[in-house]
This record gives sequence, C-alpha cells and structure tokens, in this order.
Amino acid sequence: MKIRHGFVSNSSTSSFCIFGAEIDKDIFLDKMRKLNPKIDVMFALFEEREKFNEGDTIDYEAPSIDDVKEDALEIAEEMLMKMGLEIETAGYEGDYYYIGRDFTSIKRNETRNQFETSIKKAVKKLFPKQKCTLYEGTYQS
Amino acid sequence: MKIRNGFVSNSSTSSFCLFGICVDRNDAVKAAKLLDPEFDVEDSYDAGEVIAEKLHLTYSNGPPESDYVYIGRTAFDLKDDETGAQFKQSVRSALSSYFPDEDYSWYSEGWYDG
Repeated sequence: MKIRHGFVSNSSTSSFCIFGAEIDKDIFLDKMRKLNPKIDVMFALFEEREKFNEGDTIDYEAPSIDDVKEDALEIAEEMLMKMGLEIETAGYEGDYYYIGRDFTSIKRNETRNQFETSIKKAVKKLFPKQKCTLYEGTYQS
Repeated sequence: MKIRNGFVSNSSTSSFCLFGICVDRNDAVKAAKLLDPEFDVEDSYDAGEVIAEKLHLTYSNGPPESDYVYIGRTAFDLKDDETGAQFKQSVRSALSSYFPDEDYSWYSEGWYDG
C-alpha cells in the first residue's frame, strides 16, 4: 500500500476524483495543437519525419509519436493550469483525458455551485460542447 | 474502463473518494457498538455500515482482507450551496465524538476486486 497526500492505493492502481469533462485524447491533443504553436511544431516535425522512407538521411532526430504526445501534454498542462484547470490522464490505456479540477481542491469558502461553475466556464472556452460532471475512478498504473 | 455516474474504472477494480477518517476495524466496532447497542461485535465487517447509517455518512471497507474502514462523505454528497469548509466540518462534527483522535483527510483509493 502507498499513501500520498491522502491518496491510498495498492501498488498497481491509481485513483482520481475530478469535476470536469471527458475528452477523447486525440481530440484534446488536436485542440492543443491549434492553440499552441510549440505543440504544433512538435507534431509537424514528427509528420515530416514520417514522410521519409527508410534509409533516407535526415538531419535531425525526431522523437517518437509517444514522446511527442507526452511533451505536448506537459505543455498543455501548463496552459490549462493558467486557466485554473488540471488534466487527469487516467493512465496510458484509456481513450480519454479528464479536464477540470480535482475535487479535493475545493476551497474553504467555495460552494459546490461556485466550484462547478468556474470549471464549466473554463472548459467551455476550450471545448464548448462538452458537458462537465464528477468523475471518480481508478486505473492500472 | 467503465463509467458509472461519472465513475471511471476498469471492470475488475473498485474505488472511492471521500473526506473523512481511516480507522482500525476494531475501533470501528467499538463505535458501532456505541451507536447501536444491538450491534454484534462478531460482525466486525459491518461496523462501517452501522456507523455510516447512524451518522448519515458513507463508508468503505477498503481492499479485501484489509483491517481498516474509511468513513466520511464523498464528493458526490456535497450540496450545491455547501462550502468546502462546511462539508469538512459536517464530517468532523459527526465523527469526533466517536473518533476524537483521528486525522481527517481526503482518501482516494482503488484496488482490484480479485
């Protein structure tokens, strides 16, 4: 068992509790690419590399798509943090990211209505059609 | 992965997220007996349920074969006009008489059902 900031799990699972939206990973990264030139360049470099045939000489070393996605996610996390949002990746195997705020971050003088309204507003700026709800779950880590 | 009222998990796991305490099962049995004199101390696994029912809280026995019980309120229980402070205070008020020395925290746990 491990205990981390009130977070308890056995060694092979992780849990989360977040209010926000469930976003398909590819849709999320595509949106981040449109919003952030740095992320766009990272994906563009990868796509350029994919155009080369085996044996062709390229003058730069491009990362794998998984590396690109991981780096993009780090940049996206910083972007969202400035909007008061967090990303819960829910492990590598799932198809979705969860964009919102960890429920444990509710402030002392903040009501549930205020907490949820602030998240809905922030999420709507990025994904206008996505509905927000409370997601609580666990995944293999 | 499965979704149940916003609950995300794969099919062989259980999880919860609550604010409250994590107590030794023996302590939970003592509290359950105080709250319900007819509670049979041999049914130690039911202690959390008795406490939760009497105090209008939520409980979880944790992973199989664990010796502790989580008691408190889940995020789903928070009322629309209730603040974070009021939410936490309601848990402390309900439990402090029975568990005066426990630390209160958010607990989020997941485990395989086996």
